[in-house]
Amino acid sequence: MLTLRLTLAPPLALLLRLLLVCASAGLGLLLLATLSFALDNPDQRAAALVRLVWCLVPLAVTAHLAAALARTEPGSETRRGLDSAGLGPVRLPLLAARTAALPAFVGSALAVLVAARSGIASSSGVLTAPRLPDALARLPLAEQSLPTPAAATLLSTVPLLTALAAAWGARPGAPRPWAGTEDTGAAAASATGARSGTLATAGPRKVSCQAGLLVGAVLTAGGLLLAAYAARDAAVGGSLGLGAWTFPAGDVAASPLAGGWLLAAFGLVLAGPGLVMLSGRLLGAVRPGPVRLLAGRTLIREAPFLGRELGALSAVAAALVALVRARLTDAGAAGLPGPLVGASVVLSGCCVAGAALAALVRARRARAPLRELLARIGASRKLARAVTLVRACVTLVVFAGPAVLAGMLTALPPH
Amino acid sequence: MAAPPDDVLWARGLHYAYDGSPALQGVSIGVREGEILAVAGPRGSGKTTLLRCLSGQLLPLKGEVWFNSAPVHTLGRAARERLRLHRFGWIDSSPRLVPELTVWENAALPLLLHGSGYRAARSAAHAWLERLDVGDCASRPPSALLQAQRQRVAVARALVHSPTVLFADEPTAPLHQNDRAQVLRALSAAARSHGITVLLASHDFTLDQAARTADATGAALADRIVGLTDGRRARTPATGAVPAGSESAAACSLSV
Repeated sequence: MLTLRLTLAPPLALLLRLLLVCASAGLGLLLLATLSFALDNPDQRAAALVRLVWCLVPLAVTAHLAAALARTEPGSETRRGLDSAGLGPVRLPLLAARTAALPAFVGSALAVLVAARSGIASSSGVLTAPRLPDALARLPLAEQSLPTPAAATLLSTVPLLTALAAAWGARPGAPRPWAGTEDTGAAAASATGARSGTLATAGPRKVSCQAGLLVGAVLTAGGLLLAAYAARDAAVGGSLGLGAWTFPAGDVAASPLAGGWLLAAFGLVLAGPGLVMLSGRLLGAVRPGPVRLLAGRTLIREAPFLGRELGALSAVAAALVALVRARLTDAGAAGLPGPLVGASVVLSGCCVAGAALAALVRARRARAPLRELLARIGASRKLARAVTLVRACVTLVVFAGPAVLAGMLTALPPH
Repeated sequence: MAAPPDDVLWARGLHYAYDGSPALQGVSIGVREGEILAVAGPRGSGKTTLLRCLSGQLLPLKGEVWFNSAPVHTLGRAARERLRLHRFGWIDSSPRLVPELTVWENAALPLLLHGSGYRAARSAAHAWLERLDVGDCASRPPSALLQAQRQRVAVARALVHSPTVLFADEPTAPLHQNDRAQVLRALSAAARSHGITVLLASHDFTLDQAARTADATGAALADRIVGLTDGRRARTPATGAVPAGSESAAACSLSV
């Protein structure tokens, strides 16, 4: 109860928690549907396995959201109070794990409820239940009962992984936006070892950002190439696949085309920190004035913990661009997924956006000492607003470019 | 009541309260041009609030603040910001350096905010950092410095644009005795050589002779000491001139 009262207050946390419930419910339904498919088609083992592997993507996104939530809550002030009350950096991850596992558990329970209700409805035809059309989106339990141990195992992975991710996000050594500030209290709250650690890791982190940019660019290009190759192959041969590894044309999920998309998205995520750092460098280069100096340097400092989230967001934007293209050219209409898969895709996108929002809020909170200092010195509010505007515009441009480019270059499944 | 002609900054009957809890209850104070005025009092006596009211960061609920024969308490927010940026300097009890800027960029921040050129700001900041003995770490990040060095960078930032009045709110609070004396001497020497008026708040003015000669609390550097207790001017200690003032001023000019 105390935990709830400590962390429920801000609307952002409420929103993220609600999102976590929805995401884990959708994920639970997806997992049950996969199990149902495997039971219905015992001879198509490879296809069932591919479906299960694809469930890892929303699972990873949900875990990412849980980690972002754990990093955002509780705020630094509360954190300091909790630390002095004995709930320090060692026990806080446990608390975060518990608070993140609860919404995930509720989501899984919702999934079971929806599945069971729809199953009863379809068998007896009496109860009104959410009846989703189409065989592609067939809900589990529609025709035969699922084995309870298998369903329980599948569903328990969601709260378990969410809890682990939250604990990982709240661990003492996690990168924090206020690391490196020498007198902001929050730094004092973290152990002195962490402070010396930031000094030691300042160099390697910069290098890792640049290396991430390089690796991410290579992966994105590779993924786009793979997708293009697979699409061309399919257009020529009428089946999706490389060489002997062929799949029926309708099954986009099991083709290298989707693998290429995933690789490109992963590359965008990896390139994120490097992109933020590069834009900060460019902004602060060549005799900057106060606006460019402050905006650029802030971007450089925030790159390690803001970049991944923004990169993921740009991957989602690229997917949206590709989707719009598919709608406009009417390509891939045959391979469009059913409502359940569509819902999971939308939920995954929302989760990525939520995690990015949480990261932005954290960055804003970390800038509070700077705002206070500027007020003390007497910098005008216009200047502070200009710094924010310049930073936002540069970030938008830097991430919109690759997103639109990747979205335009992505190969779509053939007709 | 007209202010004495040599008062650069004066306030009358200041009242301020934080959400109803009173911090200042009718404080009147006058600061002469070029003097170092120490505001002494225990924690919670309203020193910081007084300094923030005088520098225009807070508007007093009642009372007046005048700077150079012009009212501050009637100014709008933007005008007060401009006043702070151009005429006032501020040193906090913690350095409050911007972690992502280098040391010289931190020191040059007020000049950059003024709109002066990059090169001019850079050379001015370097000159002040040299003067305060932190010139060799000018291009390092603040996190690579010792706390006393950071505090000296904060002093350089407050002085770099040659303000008329310098507000120092317990500038030596996070430092050890040796560093305290050094920072205070550097501060007072710089202020005297440039004719900058200084308001120095501190809670540990020990008014016995030993502490004055040890020079560790700033009492010896001040021309006058004003006591503050529970948001009011204290009757004791005496607000008269400190006899050691002139000697210490001579000592300061030798020390830096």
